[in-house]
Amino acid sequence: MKLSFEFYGELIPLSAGHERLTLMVSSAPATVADALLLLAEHLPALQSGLDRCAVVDDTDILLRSDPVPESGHLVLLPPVAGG
Amino acid sequence: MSHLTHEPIDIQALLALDRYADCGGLALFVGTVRNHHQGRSVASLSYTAYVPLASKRIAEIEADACRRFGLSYCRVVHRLGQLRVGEAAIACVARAGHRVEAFDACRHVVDEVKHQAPIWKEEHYTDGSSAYVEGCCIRPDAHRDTCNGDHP
Repeated sequence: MKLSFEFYGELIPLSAGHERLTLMVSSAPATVADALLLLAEHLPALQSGLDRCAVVDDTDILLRSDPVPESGHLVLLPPVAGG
Repeated sequence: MSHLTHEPIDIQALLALDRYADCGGLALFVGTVRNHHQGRSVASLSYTAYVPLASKRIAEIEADACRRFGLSYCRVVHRLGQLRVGEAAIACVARAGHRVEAFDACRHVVDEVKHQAPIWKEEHYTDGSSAYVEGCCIRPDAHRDTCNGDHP
């Protein structure tokens, strides 16, 4: 399964400037929380920031207990600071 | 007019002065780029956003404010991209029957956008370094109140 992540804000410097990351995984993670564990294993520098990130499928904010969407694409939004 | 723009914000176009004859109050807030933050000298700011959700959240905040404060009109535009000191980063217009509702709504809406819309602010300092401003966690199942004090 292809699992892809999209990064914003302070996550971009933590991921060495990458705005997207794709992982090929042998078995699909059951939940959003499981997908984030796989991401943290691959990019340990992100680990400290993941707890405060919202995880989004298009415009829907997911809970950690939600299943990973069929697209396998997760958008990670760190704390926001507009204005 | 889009809620998010890379172009300078057209304040005059936001006012909608040719409409809403029932309104006697118009409150306008414009947030501009400041040249300092927490003792550091700021040269410019870069704003980025996750546009699909930021646009949706801003539209929801506007609609909620119209219901909550009885507004006839509420509009927010947030700038994206690199901004120089003094440039407008956010503008909010609220129109109501009277000034109290318009002022209150304008303040409420700007606070909500700052704390809920997925927009990020990177400060570029005069010494050449840069940093993202620490903000508010919008994760719905966060274990604690993670809204930080430096993003009031």
